[in-house]
Amino acid sequence: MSGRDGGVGRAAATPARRTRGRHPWVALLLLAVPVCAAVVGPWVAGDTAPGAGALPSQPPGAGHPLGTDVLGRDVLALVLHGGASVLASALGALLIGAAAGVPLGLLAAGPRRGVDEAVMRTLDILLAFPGLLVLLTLAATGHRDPYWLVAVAGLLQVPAVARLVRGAALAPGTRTAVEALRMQGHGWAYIHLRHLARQLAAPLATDLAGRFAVVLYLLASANFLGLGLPDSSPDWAVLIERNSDALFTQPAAVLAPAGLLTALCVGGNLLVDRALRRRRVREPAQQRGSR
Amino acid sequence: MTTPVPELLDVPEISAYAEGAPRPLLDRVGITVRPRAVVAVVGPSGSGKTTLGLAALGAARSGIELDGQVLLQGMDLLRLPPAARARGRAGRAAHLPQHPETVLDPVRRVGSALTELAGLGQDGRARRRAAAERALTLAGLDRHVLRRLPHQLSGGQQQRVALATALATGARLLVLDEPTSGLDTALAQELAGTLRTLADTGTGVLLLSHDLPFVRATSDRVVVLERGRAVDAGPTADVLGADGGARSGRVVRPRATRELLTAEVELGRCAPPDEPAPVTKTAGAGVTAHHVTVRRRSGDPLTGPLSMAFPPGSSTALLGASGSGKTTFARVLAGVTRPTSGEVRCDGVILPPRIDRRTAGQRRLVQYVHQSSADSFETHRPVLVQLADTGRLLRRLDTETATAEAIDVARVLGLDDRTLLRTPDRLSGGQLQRCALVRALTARPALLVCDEVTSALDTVSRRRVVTALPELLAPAGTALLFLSHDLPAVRALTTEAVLLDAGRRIRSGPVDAVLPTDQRGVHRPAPLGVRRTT
Amino acid sequence: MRGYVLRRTLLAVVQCLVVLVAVFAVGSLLPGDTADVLRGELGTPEQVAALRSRLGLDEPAWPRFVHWLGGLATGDLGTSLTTGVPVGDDLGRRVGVTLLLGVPALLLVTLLAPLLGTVCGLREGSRADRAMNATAVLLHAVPEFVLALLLVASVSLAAGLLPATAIGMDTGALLAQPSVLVLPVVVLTARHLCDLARQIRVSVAAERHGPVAEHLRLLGLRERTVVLRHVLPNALGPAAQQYARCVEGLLGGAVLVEAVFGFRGLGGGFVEAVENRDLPEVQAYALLFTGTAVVVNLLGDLVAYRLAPRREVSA
Repeated sequence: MSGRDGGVGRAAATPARRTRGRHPWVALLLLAVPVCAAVVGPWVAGDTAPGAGALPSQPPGAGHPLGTDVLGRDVLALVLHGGASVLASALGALLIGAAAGVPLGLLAAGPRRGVDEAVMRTLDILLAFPGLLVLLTLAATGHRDPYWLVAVAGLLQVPAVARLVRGAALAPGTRTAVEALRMQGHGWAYIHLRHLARQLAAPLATDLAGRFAVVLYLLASANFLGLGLPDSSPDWAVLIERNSDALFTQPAAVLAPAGLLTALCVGGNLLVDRALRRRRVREPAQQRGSR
Repeated sequence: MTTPVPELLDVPEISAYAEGAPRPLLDRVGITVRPRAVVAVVGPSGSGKTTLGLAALGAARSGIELDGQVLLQGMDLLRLPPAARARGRAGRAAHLPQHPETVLDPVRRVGSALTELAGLGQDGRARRRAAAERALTLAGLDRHVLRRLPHQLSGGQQQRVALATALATGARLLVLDEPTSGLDTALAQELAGTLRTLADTGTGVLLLSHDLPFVRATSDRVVVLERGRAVDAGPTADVLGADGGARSGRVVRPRATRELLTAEVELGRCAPPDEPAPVTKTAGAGVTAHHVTVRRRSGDPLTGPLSMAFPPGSSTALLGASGSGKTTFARVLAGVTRPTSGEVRCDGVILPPRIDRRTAGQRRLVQYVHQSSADSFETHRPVLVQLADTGRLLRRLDTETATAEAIDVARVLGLDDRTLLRTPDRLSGGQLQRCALVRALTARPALLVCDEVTSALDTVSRRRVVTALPELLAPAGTALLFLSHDLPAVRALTTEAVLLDAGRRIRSGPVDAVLPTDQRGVHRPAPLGVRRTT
Repeated sequence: MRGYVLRRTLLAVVQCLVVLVAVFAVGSLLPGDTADVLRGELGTPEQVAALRSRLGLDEPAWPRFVHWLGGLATGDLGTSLTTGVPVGDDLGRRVGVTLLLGVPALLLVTLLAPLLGTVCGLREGSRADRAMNATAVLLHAVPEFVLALLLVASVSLAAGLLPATAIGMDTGALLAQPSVLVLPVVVLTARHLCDLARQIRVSVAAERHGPVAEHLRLLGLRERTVVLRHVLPNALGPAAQQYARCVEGLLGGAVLVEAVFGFRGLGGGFVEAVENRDLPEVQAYALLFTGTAVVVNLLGDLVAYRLAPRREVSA
């Protein structure tokens, strides 16, 4: 006779079963294609300058496996060149966000209540600014080169990163351990650089991976609106924008970069989703209350 | 179900199997609960009490299979399809898990939640409301609680509301899982009274507990559970009688029962240190606290102003209900909470209020052991290495000496060397709690502050800690500040006691003066109504 | 309760002040002020200086700020540098188009997200839930402009079903031919619908397995009662906050969608103003968008707090 109960029995069984059977192959594959294109692409691709006599917006054919774009450049070569800036700018923005957010979060989690209040309230104010609109406004005042774009996109992530770090550092378990280490005579460096760094690595990595999609979305949108890179750039978002008018005659010039950009976003999201779900299954109690 | 049934709950035999585990969690356990009776299931943690409590309702945690028969008022729950079991037990049996405050719906007012549950046993709005209010009264709460949200209540009130949710269903069988864990003496005492009243009005109670005094004060029958088997059963007086049944010509109780009792008796017999241990090292005034006050941001005082002295070799208990400011005060001594005003000195020298401003020598002076020490270790390093850090960093010992010393102290507390070589995740909560004590003791502090260190321990390890602690404190003349609800341990370990309420000292003096006892050794109500209302 | 409401409102007020100062600074303090922008590439330094004094930019910043604020208070947003039309009139003309896009999108999100989220959360792990979740991850990850172009390529160009652009259409023309709105609204809705539905799904699933639900089940309440009376109220509380973030996201989405489909709404106007470096217009758009975001977030947090008072929401 089965003793499984309708109420309690069903409880945690479902999510556990779900994660067990699923493999990350799809996500990894989706991620691998655009990442390879971005990293290896610039080394293997030929010149992007339009060849002599090349016609604009030609459908795929001899000499041009993916056709040509509106300027008569080879789409395949462009696409292979265009991933580097996508990937690098997103990673750069993440780096800026983490480099500013982690120390601020640790500072706020420190022993002084006043500092905590000051830091977190100031960051709350930053939350008022929607990302794309800040980039638009800055572009209007002439700050429209890619470095500004990356820096601002990174800074916009600081409040969220700092909040996460502060929350993790103040979680009851972490705090107890830190206090015990202090009482044992461990110094600031040991506690912050060895203990907390290890404690925070996992949640921070998951968060940054999720944030990668956010930053990617923001930067791609900005580049699509022409706020950052020059319109001759092979960046995927710029290519999509430039060729969108010729969507009907030469769809490959839009669909190739759009597909790669989508694969990058979706693959990253799938992996993060998976990681988050596994953490939820493992530590269901900690998800709440750790805001 | 109108046919008269003698037993509320009759479990002729139940077994529980966990997926992939070699031995069953419950092995053919039988149990019966009649109306007006309180039946207690006792046993060390891990003996299967919680599984049995759920099984009594025909329920089990995920991954656990039940096999056997559970007759609730004559109806076999396990024969019902899983979906029908909820309806089968609705209004007949109710369960209250450990930490009952977590089962309150945070966004619903108490009255609405209770009225809804009353609908399981009553029809009609007016009768539901009446049932809800009756449940509230039975649980010992006023009507004004009905309009509140759970987070507006004190911890004690939340536990009572949780009890009321179980009572409101009109259930005649109540299953309570460790109801006294996390309760202070006064609350435990009140709960015992409530349970007896409930039983007298016809309810049957199945109590799962390791709190023997509480079981004695409430239960009619006791079942002793060990590794999933019922090894002993009988009337409370026989099973948990003061002599363990060993003296008279009656049956000698099984080993498991005797072990439980011995552990408890030895705990009680540990002679309180009647005079301060000889001071070997320091002759100063020891650690003293002067007008220590901590306020919330809003300005409400959390604790203090409080002054106290801990001369070398002294042992003081700090008592009071949860929320009375004990922990806050203790944390100020260790420098992990910053006082709003006041100061802590050692031998007359002011210690910096923040621990990270204290030098290694100053950090050594006051060592604080957290209530939840399981979290206080680094997860990736073997415990022994972490324990040795204390001697290495605070007393400038070389690694070998520090390690050897940590091993010695750990042995006294019953931790063998192999255990210490593991990482914290492979140690039990009780073992980690003892490791935390080792970590603090090897600092040879002037004052050791223990915050509820015995609450996570089962009876056997509790006894070990209580017997060993005085001899471990003696060498450095360490003073002890013992925060606890565990009165036998308090009596065994401390000579002085201070009772706090709302952060202020309301009584102090020798332990026995602060804590009167009765002949049964059961918790007595705290001398004052220390539970705060609202 | 009152303490939180007060603190959160205060934060919103401070945010508004910061936004005002920042937007003012954009127009007049940053290197490259209005005069530079207007004349920068063409004019001589003398011309720039003359223009600066005509626009009052050579006065100290403080009185100009007060003057600007006074103008805002009376509804005077300044005059467009490119068209010479008062900025307020321009906004008024465009707001209708954006509402035509935004209101249906908001309605769709409001109705569908709780529905989908709850259904998936309750059937966690079922095939429907997994399909829904996969779609949500996919759509959530794709930037609006990519989705828009993919849809245009497949639905409009390949299948010839729906119009691909709305270039040159004003509110009246759009109302006369609502099929133009279908694709843009779908694109605008998709990302935020998925986002919100996933959040709700997760909290529904968590609440359903939480200690409170288990307790109520063990006491014998029917599953339906447990879900309706406990799981949903607890899960939807935090969703109010997410909902506010999603409204904020719709603003950004509108910019992209209008750009792709050629709508002459507020988003399109913002991009146009940026292209023309028409600072008074940019300032007006920035104020409008950021102000809306601040207010909507304030409302979302307050509602979330009202629904779930124990949770200390962001402020």
